[in-house]
Amino acid sequence: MVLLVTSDNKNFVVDREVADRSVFVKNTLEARGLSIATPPMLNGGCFELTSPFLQVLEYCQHHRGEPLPTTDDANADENRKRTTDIGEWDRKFITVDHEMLFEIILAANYLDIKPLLDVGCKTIGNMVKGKSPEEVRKLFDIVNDFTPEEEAQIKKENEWAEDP
Amino acid sequence: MTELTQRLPLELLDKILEHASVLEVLKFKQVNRVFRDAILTSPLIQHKIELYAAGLEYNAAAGISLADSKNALSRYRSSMDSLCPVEKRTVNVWRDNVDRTRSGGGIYVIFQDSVRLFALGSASRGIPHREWEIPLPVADPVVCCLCPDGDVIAFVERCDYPPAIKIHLRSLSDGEHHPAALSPTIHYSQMDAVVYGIHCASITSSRLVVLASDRAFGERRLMVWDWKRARLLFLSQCGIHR
Repeated sequence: MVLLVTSDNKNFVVDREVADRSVFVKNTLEARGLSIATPPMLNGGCFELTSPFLQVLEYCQHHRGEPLPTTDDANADENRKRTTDIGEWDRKFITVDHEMLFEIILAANYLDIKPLLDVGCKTIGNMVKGKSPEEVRKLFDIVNDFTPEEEAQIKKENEWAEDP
Repeated sequence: MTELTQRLPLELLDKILEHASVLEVLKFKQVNRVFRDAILTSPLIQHKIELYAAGLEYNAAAGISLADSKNALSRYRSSMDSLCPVEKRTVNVWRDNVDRTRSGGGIYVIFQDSVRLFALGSASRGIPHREWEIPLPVADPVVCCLCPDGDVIAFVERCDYPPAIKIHLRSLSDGEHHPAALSPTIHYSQMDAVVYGIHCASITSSRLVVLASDRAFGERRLMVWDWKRARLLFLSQCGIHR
């Protein structure tokens, strides 16, 4: 068993096998030979780790024992190909509000859980598919921070790729 | 709440956009600065755009690996290189004043009554190669220099009587008077004697440097101008000993 402490000081006792889904935790444990890992503060402390962390834990528990993806370059493309579609369980798991989705992605990135990161990024990728820039802004509550000149410049740069 | 995308590291945005098509990615450059910067700085996305521009498409789902597409691109590049000499052309150059700009933006050639400009494009930024012509503001410019960032081209002319240097400022894109320049022509008449030579000139988006000499003392003058306000900022005189 491993004790994990989040940045807002909540303790979680999890199986080693579950904790090892996170390459960050795995490496930390192996390097220190300890049974305690403390994911430190993220983004200067504005990040409440507990709620996404619970989600991340759920994911790790469901996928415990599966082989970790290799970081071998030759297989990277293979893996990507195989995982273009999101599995049934993962899809249900990742159906959360946008903010939580981003939190999960940030946590997965930080804890180095590549399959979860892939699922999250792919989900957002699917959301923006076929959307106009304006729709993407609306979707994620993004403010258009370009000046009209900059916007015109980008449109001009894109002219070559537009349909004749 | 801070904006979601503000907190997302660029490489994650990169990963999100990985599965989008090139056309979509280009469109997403318009979303906001974070999206634009992620797209402009991502090697994978830039690689995909370059492939697309070359008529090749990177598609991991179709079983074309990154290595395959890299090979295809290098084959495409070498075949383009071998085609390049076809672009050779003959022009009657009256004055072979050829220069390359510092920004790598282009080349110009001066003809009897016009300047032909060649700007190098960038496939990844979607800027095509360009070639255009602007009229010469004066029949006999001695030196010519340009700065694409400031959209400016300067022609330096020598006047013998009375001895003076005239600098003509034009917009690089259309050859009209430059909108930011207070005066389209800078007139400098503080020469001691006949202007012997104008050796070189160089321009940035705010400054112009001219090196000239007058015959009387064989002196060289280095002048730095604020060309927008037609003000001489700095003048250095030094004799040369041959």
